[in-house]
Amino acid sequence: MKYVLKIIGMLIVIVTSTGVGFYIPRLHKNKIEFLMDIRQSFCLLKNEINYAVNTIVVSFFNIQEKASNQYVKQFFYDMYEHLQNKDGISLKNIWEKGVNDLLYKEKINESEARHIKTFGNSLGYLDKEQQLRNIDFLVEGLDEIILKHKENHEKHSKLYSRMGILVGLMVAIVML
Amino acid sequence: MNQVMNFFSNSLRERMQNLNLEGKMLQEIRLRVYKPVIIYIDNEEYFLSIHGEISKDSISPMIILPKDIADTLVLMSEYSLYSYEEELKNGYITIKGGHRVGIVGKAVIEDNKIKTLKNISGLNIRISHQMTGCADKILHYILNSPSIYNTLIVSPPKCGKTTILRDVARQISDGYLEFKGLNVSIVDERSEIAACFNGTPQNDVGIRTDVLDGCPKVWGMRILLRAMSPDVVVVDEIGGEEDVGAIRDILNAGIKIICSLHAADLEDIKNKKYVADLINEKAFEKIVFLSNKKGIGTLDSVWNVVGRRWEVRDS
Repeated sequence: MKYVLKIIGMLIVIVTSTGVGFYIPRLHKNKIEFLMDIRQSFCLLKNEINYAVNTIVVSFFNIQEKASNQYVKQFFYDMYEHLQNKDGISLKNIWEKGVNDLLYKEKINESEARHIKTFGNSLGYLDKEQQLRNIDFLVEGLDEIILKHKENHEKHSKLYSRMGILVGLMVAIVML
Repeated sequence: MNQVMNFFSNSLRERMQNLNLEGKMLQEIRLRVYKPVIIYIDNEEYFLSIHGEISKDSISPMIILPKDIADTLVLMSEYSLYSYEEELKNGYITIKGGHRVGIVGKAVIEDNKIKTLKNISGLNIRISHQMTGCADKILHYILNSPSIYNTLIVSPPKCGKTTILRDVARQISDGYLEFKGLNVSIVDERSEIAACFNGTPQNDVGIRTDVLDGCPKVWGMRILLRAMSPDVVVVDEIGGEEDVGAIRDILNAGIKIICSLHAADLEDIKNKKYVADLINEKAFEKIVFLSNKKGIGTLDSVWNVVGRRWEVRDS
């Protein structure tokens, strides 16, 4: 009976450790996918401004309609709601609040939040050409961030999964 | 009032939100940098005080700061000044509710054209009031069931031409008594007839009406002719040679037209060469003259083509 319990314990340790080893790369992958979705939403914003010449309010509504990621959808929908209320709060503040929500939900980190927040400072105020340049600048920045995450993911994903298995096995051996 | 309140900067909103204008007609709100807020109600001029009251004397008036103008403009443009670039060049934007906002500041000129306005120093918010039924008195001159007469509505400025044109379009589109509604297409170059906001007419222009908003008249008339197969085309303030050419295309296609013209009387029209040519060709079957003798939109006279001559039918 003692040995059976020991084996069960060892198996639990190995499975958990392996699971954690595979879970961490999955988190990184989700992060990359989220950043790609938010990048895509800024490309949509560019089209809304460039071709449809829609206002920010209408653009945000259209983007949240098209967004597949629930956090991106929520981000644009919340801002749309705020702007619709016309409660006198500046767009910059509304944008900042939206980005902070993403930060709070741990969808982005401090430096990514800072990059996206800066974009909100001039949103809506500039002429069309500058508005588009501003979006291009943001998208380029996001591309760099995504590239770094991808490199990290490729570099570390196998390491984490192997480490998970090995740590599990090591603990199991120690338990013997 | 409540409809436009949301477009004002916080400091203006705080002072205006307690104004009781029930039963009164708010017409205009004028904001000028470092000047008092002036409000026109029932054709009377009032000053807005810092305490949020209105009076005919300028006692402790609320003075507008550049920030008030900037914040108000941002709210009016829905945080999207870039989407109003074309309108800004013309010095006005149309906001939700169909209200027209005149804008002045420093014009930025590029290639002999106005590129935009900067340092905005004044806003004139003209409150839209649709006068439903104001065209009743002229409608029976225009209708020729099951169609209508090609009609020119003429008046000097500020006599209600556009308001009447809008109501004519609405009633022809919806139908009037025994008259069945027709497909109406409006070319609304300056967004004055339908007052479109984000593509939606803010004024009731009828259930069978299509609006081509912000499009130059000449292009618009030809686009509608090809695209929308209208029974009637409505266009405001014609006058140029190209306008007249497009009207001829409409008439040659067998489509009826109703348009308006700035002029005082038939003699005045004769000075407008291109429109005078149309009238001599009897392109219009009716000419309706309006004035403000007994208030805005007074029907002065209706002229008919009789044989080869124009005769007054009613005056």
